[in-house]
Amino acid sequence: MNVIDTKDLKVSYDKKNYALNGISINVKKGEIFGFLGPNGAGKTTTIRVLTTLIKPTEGEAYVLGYDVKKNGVEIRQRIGVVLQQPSYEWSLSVEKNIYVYGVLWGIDKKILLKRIDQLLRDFDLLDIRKKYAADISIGQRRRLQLARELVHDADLLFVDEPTIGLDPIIKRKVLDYFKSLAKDGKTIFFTTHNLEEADYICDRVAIINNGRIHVVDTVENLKRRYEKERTVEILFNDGNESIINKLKDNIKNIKIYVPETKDEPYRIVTENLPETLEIINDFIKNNGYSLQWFNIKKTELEEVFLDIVGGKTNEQNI
Amino acid sequence: MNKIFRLTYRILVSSMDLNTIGFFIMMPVGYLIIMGLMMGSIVPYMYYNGLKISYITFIAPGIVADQILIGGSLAGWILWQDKRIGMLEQIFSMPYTRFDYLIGNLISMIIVTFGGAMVMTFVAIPFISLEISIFGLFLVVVFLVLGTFIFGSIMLALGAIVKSNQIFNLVSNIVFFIVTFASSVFYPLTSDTPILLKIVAEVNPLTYVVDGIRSAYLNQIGVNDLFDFIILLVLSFVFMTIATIAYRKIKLSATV
Repeated sequence: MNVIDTKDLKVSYDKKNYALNGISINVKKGEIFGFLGPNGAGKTTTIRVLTTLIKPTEGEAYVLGYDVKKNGVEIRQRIGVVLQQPSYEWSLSVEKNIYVYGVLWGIDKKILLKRIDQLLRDFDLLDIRKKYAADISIGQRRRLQLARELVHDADLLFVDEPTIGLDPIIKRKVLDYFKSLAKDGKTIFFTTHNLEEADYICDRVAIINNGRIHVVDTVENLKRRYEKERTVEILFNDGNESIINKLKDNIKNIKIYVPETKDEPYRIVTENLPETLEIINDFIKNNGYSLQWFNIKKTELEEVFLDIVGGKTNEQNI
Repeated sequence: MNKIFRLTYRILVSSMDLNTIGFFIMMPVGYLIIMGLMMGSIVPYMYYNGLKISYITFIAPGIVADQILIGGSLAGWILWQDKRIGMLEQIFSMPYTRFDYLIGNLISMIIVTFGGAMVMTFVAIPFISLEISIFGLFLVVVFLVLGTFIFGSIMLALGAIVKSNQIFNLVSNIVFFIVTFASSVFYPLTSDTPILLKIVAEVNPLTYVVDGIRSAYLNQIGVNDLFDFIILLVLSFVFMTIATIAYRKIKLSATV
């Protein structure tokens, strides 16, 4: 059974432009579904429709079998939402924050107190349980926000960029926690633009840009699609521009991503690695240029993502 | 626990710390004692409905009625604050409707108003001659509820519309000042009252709440109080409708 089903979902805030422009996805029970896209792609808008915070302008969406347009309360009864925006009670302690949230969910006091202890432990909040939310660090507040949402037994969890502000150790712990939830049959709808963590945690990913879904597949399949390709990262000590033109003229189907600063390398995605390397080698020999950085990578999710959305440096692509 | 009461609990717990309660009590107590006694030395007694009373007896019901402003402004402030800290969006992503939140907020404020009114009455008892009947007590409750609905609605509408903290504080302070001082809280409305201020006082809902509570505290309930009650009832419907419209239009913060 699909936990989320959308068909040609559209949202317009101003009746002229579409923040979502025909989104069709389905998410299965027990799946960690990654929703990837650059800033402003439509990730949060999609979450807002699916959590019934806003109504779609057109199209259909069903969550846990309920229509988002008609059954908002029924849907919200069974989901958990970790919003991207920080939200907590500033004037309450860490544990009181979770307690009040548990009361809002109508959880029995005895069960609630036990869960709070467990969550404080799971999210490394035990030492600061008595501290006010206003007095803790950004990363600790994010952990509090995550822990609080897990106080009730949601079937489907929407997490919008949950690892922002977390250090690498806690980040890994949180991701593993989500994995364990999925093993227990919970479904997780996970938005991020951190591709490394999507690669680590997601069963399937959808890549969204400008309100449209560009691809939905497993991470492995996506990588396989691009496995012939290699990414060459190259940074010269002196002058980059002329090599770019030479490569473009000589090799078919080559993609070159221009960096934002001079200190970053060019990323050259090619299906013909030997020829590319030969041209670069000749170029260096003939012109006497020296290399500052050179690297050949297999296709990672990041390359797939950049290829699909056109890259952060979209306008500069040569 | 009913879901409205869960919201009420959350609002009271998250917004009613000791400092806030202290501030809400100290200010009206200050008005009652300082203004009541200082002005009482200039105006030793006055007449109300033919009854000769001390000045502090006159203003005590006004200070009690003024609690509706404190409750009301808190309602707007909490909505504003919840919008700002993301809790409104978080609550709306739970199985609560906008209407649930509105009612939960207003019930919280009625509790705050009653708490304040009781404290003010107990503080005033040693200084005033209180003659209240059971019916009078009932009337006080009704007027306080209606008053809180009216000012709560006004401040909720403000909290829903306003986008900056400074504007919210500025507008609520202006409303608080005009409503408190252009009313019958501190002085009776007589034929000598400047005409413009008299008009403002007569369209000011607080005047009707004060008059009703004063009649109840001095055991002077009459037909005028029925008139006050009807006006307050109508105004509470009008302002609730305005607040609901403004509140429905709240846009949740993030846009993409």
